[in-house]
Amino acid sequence: MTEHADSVMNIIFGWDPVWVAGTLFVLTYAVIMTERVNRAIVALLGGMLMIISGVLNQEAALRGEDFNTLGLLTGMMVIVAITRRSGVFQFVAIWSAKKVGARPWGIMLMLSIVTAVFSALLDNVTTVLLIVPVTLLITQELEITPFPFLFTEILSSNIGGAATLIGDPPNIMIGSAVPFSFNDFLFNLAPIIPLILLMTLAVVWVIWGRKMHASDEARNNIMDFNEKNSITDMLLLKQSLFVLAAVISGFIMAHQLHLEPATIALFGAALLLLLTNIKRSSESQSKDVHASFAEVEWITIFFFIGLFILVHGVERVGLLETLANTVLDITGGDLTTTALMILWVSAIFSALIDNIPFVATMIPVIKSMAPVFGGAENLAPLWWSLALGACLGGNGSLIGASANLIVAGYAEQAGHPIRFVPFMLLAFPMMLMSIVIATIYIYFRFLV
Amino acid sequence: MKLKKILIPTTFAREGMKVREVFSICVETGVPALPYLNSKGKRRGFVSLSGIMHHGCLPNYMVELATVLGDQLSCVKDARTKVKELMDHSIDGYVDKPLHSITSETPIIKAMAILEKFHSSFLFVFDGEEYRGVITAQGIAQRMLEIDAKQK
Repeated sequence: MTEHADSVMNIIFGWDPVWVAGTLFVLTYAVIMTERVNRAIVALLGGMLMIISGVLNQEAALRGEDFNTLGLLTGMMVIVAITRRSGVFQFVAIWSAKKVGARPWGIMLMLSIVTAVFSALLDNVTTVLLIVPVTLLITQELEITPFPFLFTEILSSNIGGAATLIGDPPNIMIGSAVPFSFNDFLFNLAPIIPLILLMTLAVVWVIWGRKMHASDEARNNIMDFNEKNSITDMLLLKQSLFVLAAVISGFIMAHQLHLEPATIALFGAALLLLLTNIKRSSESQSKDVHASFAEVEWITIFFFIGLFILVHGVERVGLLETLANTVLDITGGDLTTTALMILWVSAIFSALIDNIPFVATMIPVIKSMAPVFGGAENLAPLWWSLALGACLGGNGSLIGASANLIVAGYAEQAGHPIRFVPFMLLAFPMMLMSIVIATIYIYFRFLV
Repeated sequence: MKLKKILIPTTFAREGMKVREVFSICVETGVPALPYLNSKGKRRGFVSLSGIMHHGCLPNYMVELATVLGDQLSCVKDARTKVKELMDHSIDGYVDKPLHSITSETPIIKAMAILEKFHSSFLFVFDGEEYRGVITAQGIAQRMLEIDAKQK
């Protein structure tokens, strides 16, 4: 298919392509925001309607798909799904709780740091799914309320996720679109993350930490936990940690290896599947591979597939360029104002709606600003603003990020519901605090 | 081999019954579960000993981390009070979805296949709308032992 053929649009009923694409885009995003229908269904329907209505043909839609994002997400999901079966993450969580003598504030600190580090290396949803059961068990034994712990873990997971290329889907999308390497994220975003985490924990200490207390007997019960029993398969543990370390090393050396992150992640997934299946029978291999693939979050993957087509559709009819020009009119084409506006708008939007569709839309918008700022190489402050705003903004409300909802769901099932308003009353100001820190960082690091 | 010989007749668990009553029936008759009828007499699923124990005593996180628990646990401090509270609960919150049922004419081998398919240790036997009782894996094993003894 040639570019010329690709550019021909056969819109149904001869309608204006801008209106068709714009309406489909707005309607799809509106339905996603209502959360009445699963987001993967809505995004796929919206994406397919973009093709059926003639805004894009199938070949053009395929060009909108970002293999790097899809491959990196899928590969990491498979690796994490297999690794978690070894019990290593629960081992680390319980071990860290015992390392601080099972003192409540110490446990909260350790679990928050563990959550942030895991979130930087795994996806946030997996991280909280591993940490929350440990937290609930520990707080049950210490006979203290789990809310402060769960609250801090939600915040830590979104803060930690902002640190690396693979920590949060917005970073994966930005890293793929620009493209930025794993090291670019590590050098440009990770340095500010410990400070944001530290400030967040300081606020948590003032609110809850200094008053936390547990009896010696209860603490002894925690010290009596045997974390080694959480390791279910030592061979699997070794294989998983080897592949996980190799994949992260691959990300760090991706530039020298001339490889994209998706290739590294998918190769790692395939290698781990090979290592864990090599000595099994054919039937057993099929079962194991099926089980590993079943743990991939296909809702997220198909959500991305639909979303990429939708965004490509509105981009192709010129709507996103118009949006970019509007932003530039507001900021007067000033890089500092534009970067800080992107940071704050991303944070507020991400607190209230899913940050993935927001970032998917903003990527082509920011790309089209390149001529105004003297080329794509000068857009870095805008990309880092988008990444920090979208990731940290997720802390603003209970619906700001998938991990928040997962924690709330698990806590409710365990008889400790987290209410929307009380959570937001505490979390939103803390999110704003993190954005203030990010503003200072972005300004002095990239704009002065 | 037909099921009639290993059928354990029981009553139904009915809407509003206490956990205590269901536990008593199950222990007396030696079955792990009872079919559940709502206030209109309609079959709406079943209640089982393991289901009540899981949902009534064991949060998911405890099950998930069962192997790391120590032998001293804060949550067992007031175990007697918790047991009494559980026994006073209505069973209505512990009803599981209906299981596949079989008839009294079903061959035991088919019953065994259904037990295996649903990873269950019991099945309810209905002839039309008429409830006949429960068959269990232990009942099948007992019947096999009887057959084996006759052949010796």
